[in-house]
Amino acid sequence: MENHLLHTKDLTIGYREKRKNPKILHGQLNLRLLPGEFTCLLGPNGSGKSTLIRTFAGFHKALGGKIFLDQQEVQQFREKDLAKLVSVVLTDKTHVGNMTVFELVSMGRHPYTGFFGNLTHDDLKIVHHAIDSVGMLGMKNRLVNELSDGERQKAMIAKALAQQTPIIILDEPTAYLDLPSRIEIMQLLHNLSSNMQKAILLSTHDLEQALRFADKIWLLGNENHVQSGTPEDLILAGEFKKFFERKGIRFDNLSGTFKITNPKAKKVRIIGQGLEYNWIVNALRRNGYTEGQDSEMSIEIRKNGSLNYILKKPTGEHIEIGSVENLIHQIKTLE
Amino acid sequence: MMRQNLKPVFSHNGILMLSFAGSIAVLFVLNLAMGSVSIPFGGILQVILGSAGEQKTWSTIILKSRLPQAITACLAGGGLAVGGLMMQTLFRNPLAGPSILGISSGASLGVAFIMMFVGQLQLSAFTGISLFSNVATIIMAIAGAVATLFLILFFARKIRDNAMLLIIGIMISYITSALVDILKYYSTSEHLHSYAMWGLGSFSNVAWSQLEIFIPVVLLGLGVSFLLMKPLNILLLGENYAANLGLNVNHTRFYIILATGILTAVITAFCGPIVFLGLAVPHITKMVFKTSNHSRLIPGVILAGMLLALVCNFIARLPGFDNALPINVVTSIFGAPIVISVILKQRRLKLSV
Repeated sequence: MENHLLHTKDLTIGYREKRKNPKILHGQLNLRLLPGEFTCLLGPNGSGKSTLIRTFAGFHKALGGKIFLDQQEVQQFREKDLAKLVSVVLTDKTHVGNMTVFELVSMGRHPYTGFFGNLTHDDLKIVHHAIDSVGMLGMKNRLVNELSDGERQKAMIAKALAQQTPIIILDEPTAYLDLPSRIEIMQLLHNLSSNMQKAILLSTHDLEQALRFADKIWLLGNENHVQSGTPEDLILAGEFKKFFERKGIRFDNLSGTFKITNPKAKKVRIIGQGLEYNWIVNALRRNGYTEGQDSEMSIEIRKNGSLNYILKKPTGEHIEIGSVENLIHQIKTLE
Repeated sequence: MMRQNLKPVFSHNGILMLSFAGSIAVLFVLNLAMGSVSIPFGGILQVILGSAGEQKTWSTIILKSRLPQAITACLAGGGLAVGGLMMQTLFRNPLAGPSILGISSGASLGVAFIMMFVGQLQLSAFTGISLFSNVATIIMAIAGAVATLFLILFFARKIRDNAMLLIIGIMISYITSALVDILKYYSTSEHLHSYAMWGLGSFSNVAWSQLEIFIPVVLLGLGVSFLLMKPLNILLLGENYAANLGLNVNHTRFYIILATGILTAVITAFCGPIVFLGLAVPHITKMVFKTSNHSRLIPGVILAGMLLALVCNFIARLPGFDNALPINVVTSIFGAPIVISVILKQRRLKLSV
């Protein structure tokens, strides 16, 4: 337990407003980041995710308690030395204008360069390697203006790598990105943390990707609830249900996803299995129905030659239907 | 291998810098040669080498009038341009210029005060010779500009948000121009006219004795801008990223405002409020050099500012205009179309801060 790169002791986070009592979001936080681990910070809006990240990054003052980096209290570092320990990637789109990817990533070398920021041969090598690590070597001379949002965030991650810090903190870096880019970045970060033995902390709303890629998860709830652990332990202990469930939204421990629930939903029995079963359930839920055994209405999935759905109406009448769209339409017309 | 990739970019910029410097030299000579009296190149050479014994008038015209004017134009152009660049980077705003923080309107207030208010009082002991002289105007302009600069620096320490600071700067401009309007309202048309003439800007009012102050102060401001190269580059990423890279954002902001303030104050004091160069030159330079890197932009912007100022000064003194066109008229009428044409040519490049 000696080798954690960052840990907090009774850390209190929140913000001060002028002439008012400080607004405390969380007190008594005792958290730690380990080298080689990819940690995801999850929590509903307003739970203080961003404040915690900003406090770690030094943009925000802690209201109490202590943050230790490499066993040393954070206040004891000078700005320049801090820049060699913690690097950040933020949500904000940076408007860097006519700057190439290479120039952007070489910004990460600034804590190491001299007064005029000239890059040595070693600096150039490190920048080159950082760009290679995020797989953007082919785009290193492209202007940052011309990159997609996902590519821009990858370039910012390369900047963080060029900064050569043992800790990387990312504040919702995938917020604007489409699903494939999100998955790509999460996978990249997971690989970077284990290959380079970096401690990476990322805040996100993307629960599914966090469950898939994170080594550790920190759950931040409203009113002082905090839990940390591997995603699996947290699910098996039912923590996700506590943190995220609300009326009409149910967390499914089996699949690790959210389900929409509606207690008043009419039940439909489904006979069959496999892919079709899953997606018929999906369509039923969206339209305010749910699957259940004790129902006068049933759908049978039949796959001999061509795919067909047999809908048995409460009246006992059978109809053969070829698509889910028509199936839902038929069910609705029964009302 | 990496160096090979970097090289062509550098040499491209190197060629641009060289051609800027060459054009500056050509225009500098043209500025010496052209005017109400035309002097051939050989004559200029003789005057500068001090061997123009028989051509007393040429020597007087060049040494007393045209040379200081060309030097003033160069320094003012370079200084305003680099001030504009620093403001645009600091505030991440393409519309920012060296006068955005109200420093030049502070200078205007100082000048308005001496020209219209003190003039009105008819303090016969002080008026007449000294009060409306160049020197008094310059002193009052510097006083006004420096007072505004201190005010802005005071707010800069109190307020962390750059956008708010920018708004405060603009508000200060409004207040000072309102005060100027009050002075105008109670002023005679004669005083109004002399104030209006000052407001049109000129590179021709700086004598050698004044250049002894003007040159070192502008060079100091330009020098500080070179020292701010690296912090300016880091600021491009935004304040949070900059702070994470170990930059003390507050200190940097202080020095950027101080350097810009000194440049703007001294140039406005000696040349009047020159509005256009500081805003436009950084944009032209960014488009021509196609970079956001301040290690190339700062020298580029200074050269481009010098060049454009010399071009404008040259046009203002073309035969026919006969030194009659004020510099602010030329910079706007001839400079604005240049900017528009550069934008049209480079439409694909987005306006970048």
